Amino acid sequence: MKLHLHLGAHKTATTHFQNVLEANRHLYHDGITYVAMEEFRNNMRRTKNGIDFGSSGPYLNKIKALSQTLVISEENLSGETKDIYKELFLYSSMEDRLNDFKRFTQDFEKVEIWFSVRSMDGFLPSIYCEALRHFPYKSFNEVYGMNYSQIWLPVIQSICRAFPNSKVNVISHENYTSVLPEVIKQIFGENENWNYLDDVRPRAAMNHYACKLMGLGVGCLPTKFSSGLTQVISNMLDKNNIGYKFAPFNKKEVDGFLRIYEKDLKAIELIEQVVVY
Amino acid sequence: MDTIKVSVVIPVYNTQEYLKQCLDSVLSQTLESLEVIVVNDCTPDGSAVIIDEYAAKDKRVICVNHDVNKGLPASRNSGVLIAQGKYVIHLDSDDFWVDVGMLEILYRTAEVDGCDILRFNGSDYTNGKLTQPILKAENIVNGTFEGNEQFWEYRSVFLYFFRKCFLDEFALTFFPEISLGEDAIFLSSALSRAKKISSLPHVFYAYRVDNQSLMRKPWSVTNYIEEEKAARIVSANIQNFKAAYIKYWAFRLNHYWSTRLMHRAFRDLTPDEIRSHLNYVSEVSSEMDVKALRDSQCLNEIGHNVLIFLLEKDVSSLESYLNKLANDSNNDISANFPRRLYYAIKWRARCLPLLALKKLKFVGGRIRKKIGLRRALAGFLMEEKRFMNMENNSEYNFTLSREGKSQGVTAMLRVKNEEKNIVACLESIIEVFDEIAVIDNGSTDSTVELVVDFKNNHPLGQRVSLYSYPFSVARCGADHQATSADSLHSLAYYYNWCVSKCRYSTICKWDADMLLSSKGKNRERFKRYILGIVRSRRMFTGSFSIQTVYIDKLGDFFVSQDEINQEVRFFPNHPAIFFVKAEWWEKLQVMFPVSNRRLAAPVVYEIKDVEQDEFSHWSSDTFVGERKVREFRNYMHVKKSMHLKDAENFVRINRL
Repeated sequence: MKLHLHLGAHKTATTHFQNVLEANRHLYHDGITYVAMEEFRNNMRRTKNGIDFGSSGPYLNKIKALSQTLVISEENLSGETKDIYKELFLYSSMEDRLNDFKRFTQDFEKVEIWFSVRSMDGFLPSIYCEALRHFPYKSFNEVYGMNYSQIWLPVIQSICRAFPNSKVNVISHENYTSVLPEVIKQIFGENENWNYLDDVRPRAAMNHYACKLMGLGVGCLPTKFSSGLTQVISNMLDKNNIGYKFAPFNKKEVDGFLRIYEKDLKAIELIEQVVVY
Repeated sequence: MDTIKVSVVIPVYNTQEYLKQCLDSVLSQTLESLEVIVVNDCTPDGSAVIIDEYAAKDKRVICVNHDVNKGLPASRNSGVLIAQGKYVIHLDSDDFWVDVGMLEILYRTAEVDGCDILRFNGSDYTNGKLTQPILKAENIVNGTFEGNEQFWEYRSVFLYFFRKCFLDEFALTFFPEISLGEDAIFLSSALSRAKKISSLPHVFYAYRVDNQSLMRKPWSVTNYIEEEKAARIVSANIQNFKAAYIKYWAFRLNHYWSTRLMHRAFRDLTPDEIRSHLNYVSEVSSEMDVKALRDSQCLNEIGHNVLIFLLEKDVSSLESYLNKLANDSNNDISANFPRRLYYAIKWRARCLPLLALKKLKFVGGRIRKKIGLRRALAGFLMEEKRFMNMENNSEYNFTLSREGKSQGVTAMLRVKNEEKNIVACLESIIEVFDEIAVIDNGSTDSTVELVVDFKNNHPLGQRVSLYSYPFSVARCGADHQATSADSLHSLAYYYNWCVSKCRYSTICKWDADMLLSSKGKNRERFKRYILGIVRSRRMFTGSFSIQTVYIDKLGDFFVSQDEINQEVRFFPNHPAIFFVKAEWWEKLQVMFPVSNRRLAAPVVYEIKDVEQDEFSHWSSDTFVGERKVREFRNYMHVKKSMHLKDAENFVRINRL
């Protein structure tokens, strides 16, 4: 039994990847099953202390028995978008979550992890905008404070600690489109005739002015209203071609992030169980 | 047969009433590998029956019978003579031990320290209660008699634990001819010869003060002369140890002999006997090192007067002076009203509810904080502080200044030959601090190369700055004491130089053997704590708990449960806050009141690897103070692989 576990990260084309898997379901070989993300998410119950294996157990046992190779893609196993509001480091709680999830994966003879990473100049604004869609408004400065220089190395290290015997595949988001066929081949054995949904557009980031202007008192509105209003204002500005995609960093800062990201990937590549795409 | 770890020697004479309690306290010890040598000094009461009963019940009890009553010193010698244990301890048969784990602790500590003598504490026992500790609580590892005269404070042999081979090496026995002060003679001889003496603060011994021992019965003139002879032997034994010698004689002249013993003598002896005793004392007083005593300034008025009378051999004046002192002490309380009043007021003041004082202090602090004067005061006090070294090396003169500091935290990391730890340390903290200033102090291994490599290759490597301080720095302890504070070689100067290299508004003193926990929750907690300090408008120092973790010879990690140290490590980068020379090492001097923020959760680990010399920055083997002593003992515990048997204190962990 083998498990391919795609853990995110958020805002690294995870939805696109899941859509591709879903759209090409008819091309799978026998003995391989992709568990639809929505279905998986709906059947997993969480408590304060982790996964509720009591109520999720029957479902997990059921999918385990589906075939020899199982593919699961669920970024919320690593953390949630709202974590960015309360955590100072990327995916701080990931290791605990994965250690919890290991109760499910221990029955598999082989577990292979897939994880995408992205330069912080793009990742931080994207995940911030995603958090704005669902949670009450907070300014970008408030969320990140003095902690901009985040890196992926510790995140990958924590995955490696949680799955010390597994191969960890790290995909650089910037190469996503070009390496996707190779990734599909690695997981499904072949990629002939696969439709990579090249025409599907990713969800756009919030409007820059919406993010900035919302600070004027919207934060005190009730959660649903506050997040909904941000989205509405952003859409309205976009429709009228006012402003641009949320971009909190200047060129110098972006260059700094890119330099760090380059080194970050090199450092990740040095970890024995990691392969970088 | 297993080696016997401890031999307990109990001389018995007329203590039938207390003997059972005494023997029970020994046989109930958790350390089972022991022998109990009970010496029956021809006791006329029913003690012999009790001894036989215990010997029949427990094989570890060995009975030695004297045909005639030989006295306490000879009884102790008889016991030690047949002792086979690695260590020897004496216990008086009317006293007992209060802790069943006592021998276990003493044995373990003595093994860890490798000391010849280990002293512990006891307490007076009266009316079924422990009343007051005999000694001040103290904790010393591997001290020597020279410079640690506190070992000499209470001269009773039952508070000492001896390595048997040490006693054999110097053939240390009790003087059988002298039954008064035999402890002091023995101890003066033992302490002056011991290479390593340690102490523990634990109260283990119950000293019964309400029975009729020889010390509490009336003495004959022979007893007084015998006591004086014992004092002379003690004096000869310790005369090369000036501090102990002076302390001993000052104590006798100021108090013990001149008031306490002579007070008794005027009650017990006839005038002729007193005169003969005083004649004897004045005859032998010329043996004293009078100059050393006078120079020491340790003599009080009584001691000084007595010494003059003795040297002048003016026995009649001495007698009348001592007689007056004895009478004064009888009438003292009613005669000296102002003194009584003074003590009464002092006592009352002590009894003021501490809670109220604390509350007052707390409220005062709150008010001061509200007014917010501290930062203004700091600014007013100092704009910049200039440091100039006594060696006149202008390149290493520097200035601590308030200007040009960005908001953030610099980790100040002083390193010397840390190739084993440095990379793990940097990796664990690089995300948390805005800058890591690594100051190398002449490493001869690959520490510097590793730091450079880290700086170039780690994604956040640009946060690391590397500096070199090329002067040898005094090690803690004696070296440090002998080095001037403004020398390039002084610890304080070195630390201040390191501070001058830090670019951010707050500094965290970090060590290369410290690791921040890798657990996400702990890292979050620590970062939040840092942000709390840095972002506040007020100035704070910050202290956090550091859990010591030992790596044993097999490379396994062990957490030492009793070793979590809370220490001030964060401080503002401000010229009014700098390091100064303290007694054993450097200390942080803050020129204005600053509140401290504390992080109680132990999220930082200090790694101690037994394969490395963790005490190389110390210039002596003697350690004083609770924390350092505990550190040393735990370290040696693991080094000698004794931690595997101590599951209570050392808990194995898989990762930090």
